[in-house]
Amino acid sequence: MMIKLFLKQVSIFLLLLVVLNFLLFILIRAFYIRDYDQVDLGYSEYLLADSHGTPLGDFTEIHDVHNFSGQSDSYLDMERKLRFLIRHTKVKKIYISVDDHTLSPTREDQNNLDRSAYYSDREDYSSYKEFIHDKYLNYYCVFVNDRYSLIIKNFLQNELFDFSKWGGSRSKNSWEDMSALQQKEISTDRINNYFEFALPSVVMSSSLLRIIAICKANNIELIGLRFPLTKTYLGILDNESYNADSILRINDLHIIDFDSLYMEQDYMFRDMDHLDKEGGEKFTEILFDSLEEKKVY
Amino acid sequence: MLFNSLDFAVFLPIVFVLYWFVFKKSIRSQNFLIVIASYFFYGWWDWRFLALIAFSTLVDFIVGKQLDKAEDRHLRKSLLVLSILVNIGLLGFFKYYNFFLDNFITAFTFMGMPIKANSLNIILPVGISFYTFQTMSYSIDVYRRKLRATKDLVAFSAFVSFFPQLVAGPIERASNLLPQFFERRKFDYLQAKDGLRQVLWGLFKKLVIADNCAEFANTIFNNSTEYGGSTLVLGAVFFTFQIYGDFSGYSDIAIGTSRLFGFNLMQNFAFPYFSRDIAEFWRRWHISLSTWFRDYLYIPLGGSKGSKVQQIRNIFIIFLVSGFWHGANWTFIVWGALNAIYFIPLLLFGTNRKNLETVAMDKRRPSLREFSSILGTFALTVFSWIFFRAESMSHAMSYISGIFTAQLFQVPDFSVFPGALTILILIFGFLVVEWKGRFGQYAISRMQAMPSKARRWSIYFLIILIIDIFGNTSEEIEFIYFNF
Repeated sequence: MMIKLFLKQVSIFLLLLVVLNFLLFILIRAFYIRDYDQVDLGYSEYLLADSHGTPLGDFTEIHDVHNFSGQSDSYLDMERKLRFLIRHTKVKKIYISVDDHTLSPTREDQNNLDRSAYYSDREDYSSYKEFIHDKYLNYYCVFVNDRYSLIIKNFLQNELFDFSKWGGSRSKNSWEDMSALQQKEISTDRINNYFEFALPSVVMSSSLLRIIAICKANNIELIGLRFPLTKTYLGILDNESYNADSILRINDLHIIDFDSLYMEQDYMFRDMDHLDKEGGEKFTEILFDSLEEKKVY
Repeated sequence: MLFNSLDFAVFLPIVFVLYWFVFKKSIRSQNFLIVIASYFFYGWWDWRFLALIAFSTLVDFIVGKQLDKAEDRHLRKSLLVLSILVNIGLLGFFKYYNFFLDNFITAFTFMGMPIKANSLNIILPVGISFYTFQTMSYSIDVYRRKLRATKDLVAFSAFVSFFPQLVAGPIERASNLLPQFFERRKFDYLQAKDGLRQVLWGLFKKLVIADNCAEFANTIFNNSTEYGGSTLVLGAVFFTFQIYGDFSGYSDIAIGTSRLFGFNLMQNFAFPYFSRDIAEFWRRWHISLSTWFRDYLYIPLGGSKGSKVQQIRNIFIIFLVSGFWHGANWTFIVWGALNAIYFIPLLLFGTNRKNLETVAMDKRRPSLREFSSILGTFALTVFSWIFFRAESMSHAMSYISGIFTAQLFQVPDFSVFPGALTILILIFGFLVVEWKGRFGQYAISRMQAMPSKARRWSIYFLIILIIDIFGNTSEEIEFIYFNF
């Protein structure tokens, strides 16, 4: 009798915990997932990129290309998105970023696997257990997903517990306004983050190869994109690369290389390797003009 | 299997349901389930060492039976010695073999007689210091005729391997735990609820306090030469809370889990950082080990009887042995010796039993005198933990000399430790809760008395939320005492 009461109470408690989880998920959806689960299925051409693709925003749609990029998307995320597109659209062409860092082993940790699980299906997983964990438990259960907890923790730490920020507004310098020394330091940090390993990630390389194979199998044209970088960043990078573009070249696929397009135009950038919104708009024009002119390499 | 793992979150409900629904018909079948579950629990870590537990169990079971029967004094003594030799032998081999060997080599080399010997690559079986002490206590109690030997091997096996306390205690006395395996178990709603509450609090201590402090303590201790005095003090303070959160958190989970199965284990920690002197600290820290040494070593040595010199000798012996119990390293021995040194003035002035009551009885806040005593004792404890945490004596000494520099009086540079301020705020909150709950078995034990269920449950949800957000749940960090 007593044990039944105990189990009943525990069940109610767990049920309320599920409700709490649901409320937290609403918050997470608003602040973290945001429009990551939004995609227009009415297109036949899509842009798959990481944060380099996001400044292009909706400007690509003028050229009938839907920008399906996500901050920190890795090839594993892009692969999931590609499979999703094949299942739900009549996709004919994919533009994919093949920048120097996209095969970095760092991407194995810095990715969107928790969010891109939304686009996955049973057939994308080797086991049912993995599918349930990634697609449902990790995605919807705030108490299971470590990234969600980290986001709330970082928010609290940065906004509430960092006393230096109390009573003052923060200002962020644009790339152009930074001193040469600041630009160098930030660029070096970024490069150190991505290029601390000698060899490219096997996981990312395999995923890119799978993306190529999937596109071939489904008659999808795949075009590689290299996004513009600042002069400072390129200088420090000094041709260091994990050579994602080479994998496409070996497979006889086209690359559009714009990494030195805006070498002397720092005002186009938000930081060392990301265009700002205005830069993104202008770059979109140049990108599709060059495609029309068949300036593919 | 770790308490802070998903494996355990699946394992526990399964065993719970089997225990109360499938195996409820007889005590013997419930005990049998406990043995199976406990061996499974231990085997999840490394099944090879199950034989060791089984061996230790069998030896003490047989010795206990023979001791019970035997009347001859010499035979009884021999049987006791056999039990102690087997248990200490196991412990000595797995835990101390390389330590003694290395020290012998060093000593002989120092005397100009270098010897060659290869140390062995020995894995320390998790929990060996705990279950060997528990089985030894059984043999000693039977020898002393304080306890009748059991004839039930299943119950005895369950006593030795009881999974909640198998790997890191509390080290139960046979006279307390063993009889519980012969009592008919009736599910107690309040006890089970209290158990779950204690598990929750234990998880908070482990995941939020200990595992977060570990991150900073490890960084500072592992790179101690790079930091100034105040940062090194901060590192020692972080370790002080790490070890408390880790070990007392484990004990809370162990005690709480046991209560779900109808067992009552002894309290292992009683808010030790609110102690007003080091004697009080040792009455409140790792109580099951302190009382073990008191009952089986200190009192047989003469305890507080005899001359002051004998008393001092006895204090030194138990603290040195206690230090050595923790690990085969001189740092632990020095840690023990340091605590003995702290203790001696209290013994000499006869004030070691001055603070028996909980601090600030019937008051909300401590008096200034109490507060300064608490702070002083805490500082001594923080200092001694440096030896406990250091990798070697030279590391400990360089750490301490690093503290006493001009930078000791500078505010640590928190920008180097992102998140450290948050953890300090959490520690402050934790101390407030511990202070308010210091009269209970654990900090939130008196929440049961709260009339509003909604308020109670809101607090539980808040704790869960804090564990989820601030708890270091991304990796399963082992409990420190698994290494002892």
